[in-house]
Amino acid sequence: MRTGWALLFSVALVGCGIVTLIAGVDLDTHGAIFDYAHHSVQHTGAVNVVSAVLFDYRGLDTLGEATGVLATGLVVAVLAPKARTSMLSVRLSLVVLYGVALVLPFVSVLGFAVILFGHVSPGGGFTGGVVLASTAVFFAVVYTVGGQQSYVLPMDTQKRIENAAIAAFLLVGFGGLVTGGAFLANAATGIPLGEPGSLLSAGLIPLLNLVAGMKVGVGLAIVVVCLFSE
Amino acid sequence: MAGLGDSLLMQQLPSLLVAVPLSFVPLLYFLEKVGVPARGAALAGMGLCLLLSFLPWVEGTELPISASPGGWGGLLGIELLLDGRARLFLPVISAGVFVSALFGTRWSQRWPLSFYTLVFLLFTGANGLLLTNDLFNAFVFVEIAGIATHALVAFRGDGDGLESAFKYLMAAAVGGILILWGIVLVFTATGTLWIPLAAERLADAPPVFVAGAAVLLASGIALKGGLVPMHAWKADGLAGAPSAVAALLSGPILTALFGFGLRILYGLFGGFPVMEGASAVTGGVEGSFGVLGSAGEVRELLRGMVFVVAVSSIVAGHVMALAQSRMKRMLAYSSIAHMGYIVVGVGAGGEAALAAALTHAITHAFMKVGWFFVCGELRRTRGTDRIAAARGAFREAPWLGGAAILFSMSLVGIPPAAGFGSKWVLVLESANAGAWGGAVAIAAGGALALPYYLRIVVRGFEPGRPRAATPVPWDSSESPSCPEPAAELAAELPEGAPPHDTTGALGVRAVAILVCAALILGGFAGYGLLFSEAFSVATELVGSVL
Repeated sequence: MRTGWALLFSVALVGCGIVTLIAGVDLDTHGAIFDYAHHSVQHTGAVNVVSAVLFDYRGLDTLGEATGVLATGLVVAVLAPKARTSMLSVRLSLVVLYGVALVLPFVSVLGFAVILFGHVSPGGGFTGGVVLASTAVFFAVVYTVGGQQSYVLPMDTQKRIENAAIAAFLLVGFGGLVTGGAFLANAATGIPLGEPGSLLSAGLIPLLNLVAGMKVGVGLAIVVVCLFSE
Repeated sequence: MAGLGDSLLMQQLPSLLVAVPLSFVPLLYFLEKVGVPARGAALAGMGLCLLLSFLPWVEGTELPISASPGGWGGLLGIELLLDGRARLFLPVISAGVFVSALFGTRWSQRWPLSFYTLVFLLFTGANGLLLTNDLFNAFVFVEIAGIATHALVAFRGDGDGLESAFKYLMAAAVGGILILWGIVLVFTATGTLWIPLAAERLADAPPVFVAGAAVLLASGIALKGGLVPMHAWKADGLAGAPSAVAALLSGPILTALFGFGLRILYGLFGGFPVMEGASAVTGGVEGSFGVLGSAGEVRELLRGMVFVVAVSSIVAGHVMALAQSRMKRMLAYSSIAHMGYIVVGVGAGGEAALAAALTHAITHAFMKVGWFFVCGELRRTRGTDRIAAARGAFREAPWLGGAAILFSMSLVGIPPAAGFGSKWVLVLESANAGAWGGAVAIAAGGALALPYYLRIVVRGFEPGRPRAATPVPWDSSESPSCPEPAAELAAELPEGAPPHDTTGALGVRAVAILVCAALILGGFAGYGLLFSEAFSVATELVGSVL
């Protein structure tokens, strides 16, 4: 009975989704989408429109989402507070150990690259942060063998990074408020936007990308590691 | 004070009201690292936020204050709008959070940092939800508040808490999906998330989208508010939560949700027109407006459904509350009924009815927070929130009994307590508007509510103690430093022993503040001021869609 209702509800929602998609195709909407495409480089200096929207136009949403990740980490830490990491009692095969060791540096570099080049190419703090979190999870899974030695970044350090990241985000916001007349202001603060497409461009966006990357990376790592240790 | 109105502080107040509570999340962490106790820092921060929330009341402030983080305005970026509605509710939220934090819980002594960080997250979510003029941004704040809520509900860490948190999670997730889906429909139809522009464009949008968005948003908000028929989760969700958390969720959070609902109803959909036969009190503003207005019948049908939901919430809430043997569940069901009162006022549509709904939301928030504190004190001294265990409690602590009587009077609507005025206007206005069902339900609601509050008060003043106090489910081995003698105390005390003052001094202060609030709100002068303020907000809301 309950399953039936749940199924009905899900089917109804999916149906609504399909109807929206089909009906929405024909809708003639002159939304803000066009303004972003035409003006974002001039406004923000970021070649990647997605980054411009995420970290400049709708920076508050991004701050909110980053806070959501922090809150999730906190929830998991409250609900699963035990700090022991002894999930694997079997030794993984050498292939796995060496394979991961070979791959990990490249994955980390990829993560940082995705974050640092977020404003000039596809990617950004969130995407790169997830990649970084995956390296932390690799470490936790592969090199924490038999509970003898933990290669997980200490929880305290992780929390410190996470809180520092959100504090940095807020500091950028308050800085914009004082110098640029609006919370999280970017170009209005007078920071040079630079040559669009170069690494040092788009004002404060790279900084916010880096901060969000740290936050998401550490936040997800906290969630996963907390759930492991249960 | 001349320059205050134009100062950066006032211009950016909406951003600050979101950013300042959020900054205390990392701040508490780093302050604790250098040795500042989390509780003190948190209370100071909440005091600061309370001060900020009163700033819009400074003489000469021009509303609405619009601020846009990033400085791009509503079209390209996100607009936060502090209008009369927000000005009215902001101090309610801040004061509710502050008093709840002051009261605290014994579980907050276990992990103060986590507790207060989560409360600040909840605070950020509530303020943001009230202020934002952007649909997706509103969802982000719904999410933040929701996530923090789960951990707070489960903060006791026992089975009850986890079960409640799980039920809360499920209900909140479904409610969130419904709201998000409504937002998606509006965005698809209008291409914008900025509420004023979306409202304008919805006028030309296909009716299917408008109706779909209206239904999804309304059911999402109703589910979060716990209106019948989506009420079943609410008592379960609050039963396992610490009292201070239950107070937070029934006071400030419901107020913020109501504020958000008003912005959606009046800002996005143009509100309900004043009902036929509207009275002289409302000035008889009539006419069809808003996007659903092309079909007057649809609106009347919707209004009919709103009244059905409201009346059944009132009846079901009170009847279920009457049947409970545990105080927290009882109070949760009573909240459902009070949400029903508020919806009757919104559905009736006139300024006076809306003003009464706003006033009722505020008085309910304060009085319900107060009752949850009484419940928390009883739990502290008796080890359980069973009504039967309250025997003799008010005899030992008469101030607690007095507060309970005051809060009950207000919730039931006995003059001169604050709840009387709003209920009176609600009854009058629904009768004037021809909504007899609503009028009768509100009047009968008081009669239904009286016995269940009276039951506790009478039991509290009975002589003697309950024979076997249920021990607190409290694992003392886990946290030996935490002084929590309630269970042993209840077991050790012989019959008729002198009462122990187990009340935390701060808890007393919190209840005292609420008693003051009750007296101020209950005095006719205070109530008149509040009502006239609410009336001007209601006029603004109704006028904005004309």
